[in-house]
Amino acid sequence: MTTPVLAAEGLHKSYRLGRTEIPVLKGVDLQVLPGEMVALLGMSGAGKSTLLHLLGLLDVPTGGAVRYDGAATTGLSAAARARLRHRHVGFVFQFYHLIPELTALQNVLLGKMMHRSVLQYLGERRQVKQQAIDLLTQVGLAQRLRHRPAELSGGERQRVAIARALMTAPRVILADEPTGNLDSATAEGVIELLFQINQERGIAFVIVTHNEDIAARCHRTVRLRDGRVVN
Amino acid sequence: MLQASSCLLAVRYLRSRWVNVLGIVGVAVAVWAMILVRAVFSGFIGNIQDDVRRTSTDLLVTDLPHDTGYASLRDAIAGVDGVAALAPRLRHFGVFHVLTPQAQGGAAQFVDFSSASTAFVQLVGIDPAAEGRVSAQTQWYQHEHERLKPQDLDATPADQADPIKRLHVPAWLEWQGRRRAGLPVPTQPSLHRTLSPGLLLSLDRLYSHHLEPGFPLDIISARFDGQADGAGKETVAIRERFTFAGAFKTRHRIFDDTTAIVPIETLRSMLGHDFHDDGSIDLITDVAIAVVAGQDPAVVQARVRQRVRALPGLQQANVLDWVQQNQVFLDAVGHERAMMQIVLFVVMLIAAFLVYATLHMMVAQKTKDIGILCAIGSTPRGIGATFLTCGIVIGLIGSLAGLVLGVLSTRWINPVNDWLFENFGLEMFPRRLFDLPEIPCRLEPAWLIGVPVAAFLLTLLVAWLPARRAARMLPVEALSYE
Repeated sequence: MTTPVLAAEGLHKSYRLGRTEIPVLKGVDLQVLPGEMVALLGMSGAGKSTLLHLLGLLDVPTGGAVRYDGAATTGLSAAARARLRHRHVGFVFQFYHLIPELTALQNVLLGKMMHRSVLQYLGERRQVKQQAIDLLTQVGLAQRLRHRPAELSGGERQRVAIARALMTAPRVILADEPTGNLDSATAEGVIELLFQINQERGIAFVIVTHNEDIAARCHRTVRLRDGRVVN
Repeated sequence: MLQASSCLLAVRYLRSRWVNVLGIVGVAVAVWAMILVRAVFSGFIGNIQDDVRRTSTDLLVTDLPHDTGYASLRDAIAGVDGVAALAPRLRHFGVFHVLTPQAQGGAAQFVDFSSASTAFVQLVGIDPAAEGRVSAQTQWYQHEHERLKPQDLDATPADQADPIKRLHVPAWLEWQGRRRAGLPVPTQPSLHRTLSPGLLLSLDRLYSHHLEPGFPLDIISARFDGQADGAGKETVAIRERFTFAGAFKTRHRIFDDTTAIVPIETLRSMLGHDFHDDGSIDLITDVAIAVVAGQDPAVVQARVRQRVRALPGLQQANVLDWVQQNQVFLDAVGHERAMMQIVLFVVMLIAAFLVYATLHMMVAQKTKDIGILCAIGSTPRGIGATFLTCGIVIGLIGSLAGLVLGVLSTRWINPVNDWLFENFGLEMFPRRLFDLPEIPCRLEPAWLIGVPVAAFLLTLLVAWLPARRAARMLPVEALSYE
């Protein structure tokens, strides 16, 4: 039996608002197999983004566990979670979330520069830089390497964000409404790119979306309602 | 280990936010000011110490009882190992009154204490020949090329038996001065014989009172007359006429502004101990001592103190080295420097606060970026390092710039001061006020290293606070920050 690259087991998450505890996730179970594309659907407030944050170890569940390649992540320190996230997961956000002071190339390079000392990085710079250029070329931005986010269109920014997510060769990419801020033509291009990456690199995807068409193209659809998986 | 991503982001953040230049400028100005002001103060204090040292003897026996004679002390101290020479001194206080033609005639005896022709003075009676062996006094005297020459001071007196003559001015000079002051004189200078003992005043007083050598002036003072046990004592006013014999300049301003040097025998005579009278004593208030070169003054001081206190009635006598003789003054100057350093330290604190404020603001504005970095996989330490690196860069550039500016400023302060004065009439360090030919500067290596290092460490400390705040941010909250 194949071990899931990412699994959620009985995930609970609640937030405290004054004296009131507001449950957002009420025992979510989810398994994502290697190379699988999973669409996560649900109404606003169903807990999609919260689930994505828990899966990406950006937040800590109130109950239950997240497993990466079968290994539990419960009880890890913030630094250990960061290192695991760096190795295992890539993020693509609705609003791109690029560093505005850096060029497209530098934004993509950033992932590789983490957890490397200045001297280590300088030793590998030529090779790492070429890798980043190749990725940006693959997403169609070979001519935009030196441009800052403010000088790029929405679609181009999202492509830079995808290249950045790919830079650390993650096992799974968590995409939070990746086309939510794009016009339909650009969104189509970005979705095509994600499917292409999935096919070529075998990277698993969890895509949060409201778009039924996109969900229909994925290998599997998971619906969230009131903090629970309903199918 | 500094992550490459922290380094890149720190540089980009600093370059894109010009407000950080404020922090660099603040640190640089604080370091520059601390180096420059300290150098000027150190130079100034060094000059003051040199000036004070010049007016002080190696050791001074003081706090002697009234009516102490010199002979017994001289015999006791002269044999102490390490004592090279000694000289008697007699201090007294009075007011000097410059005789002008207007002051003569019917109102000749009237002294207007509110007029510019009178001033308080500390009379220091010296034996010129002995004094020359214990202090640098002969170096203070303003010689011919500087307008005045104390008469006969450097020459061996012709009449050893009459030490009063040793500060006399030549008869012709006194004749000229008395005639100009409107006092009765013979028709020819050659018929005049010197009448008054000589008196030396500082060069500043010479200018402020428009004195000329040979000019007559009176010293007005008082003494107690009566029995040694106090019976029948009464205050007796003294008015003694002197002739202005020459000027001195030690650069120790308090000394120069208050001191008049007179022959010790004249002062003894004024105080009722004329050496021609029966029962008079060789009255002194202090004994100035020169220590043999190479000997430890502290050791000699202890020996002298022991010897002096062994004499009858002198158990309370003190023996002071040159620092102790000027303790209050030197402490006051040192205190001024300490106060200035406190003010400058406050400037540095303000600069540090500026760095803190700019970095704190940067962390607030970069909250979203912190969330992004978390999502990419940066550790809290890596995120903190980004902002700490900003502080390191600000501190390093500011400290080094301040150091370079400080050293250059001490090098160029005098040319700049001259240029300001010549072109705009401005002076950073008024010569008239401080009586110095140029702004003194003395760079101290320890201070030169210590100030930039302290500024850098302080910057690091204040940068650590926002860096810690950034490192402790929760990724989800940072990502959703608007």
